[in-house]
Amino acid sequence: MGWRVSRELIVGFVFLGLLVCGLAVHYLLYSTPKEQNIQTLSRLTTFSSPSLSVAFYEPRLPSGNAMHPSYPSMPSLNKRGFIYAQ
Amino acid sequence: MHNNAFFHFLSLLLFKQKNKHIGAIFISVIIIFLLSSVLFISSSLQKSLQATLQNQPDFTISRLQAGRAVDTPTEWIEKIVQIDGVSAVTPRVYGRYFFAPNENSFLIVGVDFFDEQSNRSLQELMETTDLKSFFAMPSMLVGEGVQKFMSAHYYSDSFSFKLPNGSFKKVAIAQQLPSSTNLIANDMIVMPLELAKEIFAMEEESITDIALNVPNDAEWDTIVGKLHLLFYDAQVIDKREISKAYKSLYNYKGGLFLILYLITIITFMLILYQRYSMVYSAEKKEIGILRAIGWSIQDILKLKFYETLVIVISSFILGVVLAYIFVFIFDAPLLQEIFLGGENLANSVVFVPTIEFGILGSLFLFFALPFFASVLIPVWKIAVTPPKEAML
Amino acid sequence: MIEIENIHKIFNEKSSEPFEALKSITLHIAKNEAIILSGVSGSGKSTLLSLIASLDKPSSGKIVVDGELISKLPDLHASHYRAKSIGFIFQHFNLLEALSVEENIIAPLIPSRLDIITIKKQAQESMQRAGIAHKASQTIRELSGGEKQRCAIARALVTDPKLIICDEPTANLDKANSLKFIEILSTLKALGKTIIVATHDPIFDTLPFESRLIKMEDGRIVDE
Ligand SMILES: Nc1ncnc2c1ncn2[C@@H]1O[C@H](COP(=O)(O)OP(=O)(O)OP(=O)(O)O)[C@@H](O)[C@H]1O
Ligand SMILES: [Mg+2]
Repeated sequence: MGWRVSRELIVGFVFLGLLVCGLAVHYLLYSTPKEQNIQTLSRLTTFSSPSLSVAFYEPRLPSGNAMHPSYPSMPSLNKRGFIYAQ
Repeated sequence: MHNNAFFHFLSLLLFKQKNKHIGAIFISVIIIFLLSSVLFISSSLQKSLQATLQNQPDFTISRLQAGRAVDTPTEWIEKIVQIDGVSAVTPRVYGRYFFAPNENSFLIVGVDFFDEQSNRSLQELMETTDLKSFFAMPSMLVGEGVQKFMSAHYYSDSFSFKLPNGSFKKVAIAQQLPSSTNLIANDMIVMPLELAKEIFAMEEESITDIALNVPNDAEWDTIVGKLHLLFYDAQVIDKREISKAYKSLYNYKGGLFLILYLITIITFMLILYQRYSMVYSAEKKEIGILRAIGWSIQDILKLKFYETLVIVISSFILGVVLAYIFVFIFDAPLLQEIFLGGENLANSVVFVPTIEFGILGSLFLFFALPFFASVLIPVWKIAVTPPKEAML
Repeated sequence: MIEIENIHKIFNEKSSEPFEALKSITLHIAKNEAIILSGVSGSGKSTLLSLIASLDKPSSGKIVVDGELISKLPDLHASHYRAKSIGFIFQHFNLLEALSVEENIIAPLIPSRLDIITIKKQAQESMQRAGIAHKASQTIRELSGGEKQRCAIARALVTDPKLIICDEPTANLDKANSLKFIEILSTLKALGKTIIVATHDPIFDTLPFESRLIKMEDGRIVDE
């Protein structure tokens, strides 16, 4: 009987170990064709700005307009207007 | 195997008094889960974005008038080509098209499909697309977000762009870009260069900007100087700046993250305080008993150290594994929106597994050290008082 | 075996109201002797026992057990001394409530670095001697007072100590259980153990074995 509880601890750690192993396997074997698609597209467009609608370029200017980091020529993300208004 | 009995007893105490630990483990797992999910997402996005930068031109140059970006004349291209050390000078046409009723916007990118390289990339991307019909009539490739948006507005196989002169231009939707490109392509429309120019009503001799490469890093600064000499009204953007911007995007040392840290630190302190006082009252008796039957201070500290170690390690592993599954297998539902934003077009991206072991390691330390302190300090304080007093 | 020379115990020594619980106690106890400490509540019996068991240190004076000056032992040695030589049976049993009888009984042996098989064998023997072996895997919470008492006895015996110290062992027991306890004590005495019992239970006035009665009052020994 005495070993029963001790075994629980072992089982617990074996379980955690398996979790970690599973994670490692997934991490190492993760295939990257999905990544390649993104690469191909960015090669095609020579354009890699993230398609996010969060204002991510920390606006240091007092105007507070979120600027697109890679293409500042584009209107700021928090301002709307027809592009051809320019 | 002299430690046999010790670990046996340790596991007895752990499992028979699990109620004592379950709360602390539960909250620790949640905290670790949240923090590591956020770290996983940000490092995955960072990595993917930095990887796409490899295909980016080293510089882009465009015309700036009165601080406003205006169309760049094509004649600049010929001048730039003549600078020594510059290669791959390409015109680019892109811009945002705003869909007025909802104020949603698409990023239209014009691509020169007659270029051999682009053609190959296109084929790679679109295994099934019939290229002939693609070029036969005005067609475009749309990102997933755009596709969803358009079909929600009943544009299932073509979309009519409103041109600045008031007329409409009907463009067929050839295919949707693979969803694995959502990170950069969700709101993107890829179409032939000339078509893009038409939609933006750009003049024949103008483009949005010019991309160029400078293979020799050492020459970068001189080239920038030369470009500015050549065009007084040019704005030159360097790839390094973009890289820097990507790094500060989702930087775990700033912004949103600091708030998150603050919240978790406060929560964590509360748990630790609760644990501290609990150790004091509840374990006083247990420690007193063990001391009275012949356990030394060292034995007690050893017991409590291992007890805490088991708790800390198991909650850390559980939290991290859960976060990994949540982010990289289920693609972080709910949390994703915070990172991607849904203001324009709702996006959903596939996260590529990325683990930054350094950050994970420091997370462990930041978690484990206070935890140990909050248990071992009161334990030590109890253990050094004469066991008689602890027992009463 | 035990020489107690002129010990004083002052509680809250540094505060404004120090309390002298033991005043100049001198006592010699021979091997295999049975001592019954009696006295009213608050007379300092428990305090004296805890000093002998090295659970606390006297303010002055010395205690020598088997030639070892235990009143000045550093913690590691004091713990070792407690583990090896003392079997303490507490008034409130002081068992680990969440564990089973057997698990409580092996607790004193855990730091001994013996392997678990030996420890279990010893625990089994001592449970048999205390008459609790049939409840070995029962949790303490589910035991009656008498069973808890026997579990405490088994735990005190498991290290095979020379000295058994009992603090009001029968305070929470009924008559039948108290008599059973005395029976166990007499077998222990027969085994050559030295026994010290602090009590004010009159049942200890008539014992089936030879004993020495010591009366305490207000921190002093008043009658031998
Ligand atoms: N830690 C302590 N701090 C202050 N005073 C204490 C402490 N421990 C005991 N005392 C005091 O010392 C005196 C003797 O206590 P002790 O526990 O030895 O009495 P006792 O003879 O065992 O009484 P009882 O029969 O009720 O168990 C008591 O007046 C008690 O209040
Ligand atoms: Mg007492």
